[in-house]
Amino acid sequence: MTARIVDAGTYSEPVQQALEGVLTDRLDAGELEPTLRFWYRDSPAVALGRFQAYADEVAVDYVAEKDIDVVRRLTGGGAMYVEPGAVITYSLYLPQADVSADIEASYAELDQWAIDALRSVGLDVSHEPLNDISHPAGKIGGSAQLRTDNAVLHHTTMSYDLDTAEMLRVLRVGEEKVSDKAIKSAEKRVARMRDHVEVSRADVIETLQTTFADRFNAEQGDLPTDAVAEARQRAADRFSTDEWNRQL
Amino acid sequence: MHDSVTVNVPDGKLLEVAISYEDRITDVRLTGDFFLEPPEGRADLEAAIDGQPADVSRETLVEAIEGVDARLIGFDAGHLADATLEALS
Repeated sequence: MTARIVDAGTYSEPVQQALEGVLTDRLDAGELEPTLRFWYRDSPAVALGRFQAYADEVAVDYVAEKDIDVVRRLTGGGAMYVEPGAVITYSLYLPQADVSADIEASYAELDQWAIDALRSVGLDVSHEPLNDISHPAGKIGGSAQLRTDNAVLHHTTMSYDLDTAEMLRVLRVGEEKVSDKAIKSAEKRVARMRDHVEVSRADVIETLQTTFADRFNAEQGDLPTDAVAEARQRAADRFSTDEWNRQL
Repeated sequence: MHDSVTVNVPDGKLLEVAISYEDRITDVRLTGDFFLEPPEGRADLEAAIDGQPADVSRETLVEAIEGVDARLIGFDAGHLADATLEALS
């Protein structure tokens, strides 16, 4: 089966996160071919890890004042602050049969094509277990996975030129901890592509696509027409509700 | 008594275990930047700790946690047991 690359569609964070469930479910049901999807956002947001406590991770008053969407993901991992045009996010929806059953190995495997693409534009990046893409200057990106009976969702966010000063106001990093022993994962220094290479964000995305297309025989395509409508419904029912986003 | 302990798992993730306890552990809440498959296993892990005596042994806790039908990713039953014991101490 030919893989598909979807490089279109600007959505709110709740719709983006809802699409992850819709597309993973469709692949699980055999209704979607293996797909790489690039995300385009319409406003700054926080993507919270599934098991994180809302008030531990975000500056609650600041995000309310700035009207920043905080959306709990379907995947575990850490909180990411994201801004349109300043990060690169993509998702892979794949059949379980095509992915290593060993989870640690599968992160390395599913990050490798992206690491090779970034190296080809001059970025000295490597996979760092469990789920980081690292540069000598810090963490450039992170991935997170969800597995269903037949499908694997693997999504990755990387910093192109994120406003890290704003990130420090939005996320509760650097604040006094519950325990002095604990250092939050988001405190790992963030490295930004733009600080290290003279390549536009569009060119990085283009390189990711050509690398993926060459390696996996993928072609450009579109989302199933009704998937976005279904995601909007799920966003309204779940990903834009406090019941989901502030459950912890 | 109520206590919350946050631990960094070596080369792994951050686990926060919040509990209340008198004779027994109650109101367990497990949060952090770890992974679990399936995600619904979080409630089962909390339930495995909930109701254990406040003087529970590490062995008993590890056994109860390992009895949960979920894959812990980025941490293991020993890390969760140790964080729980630290919250009890």
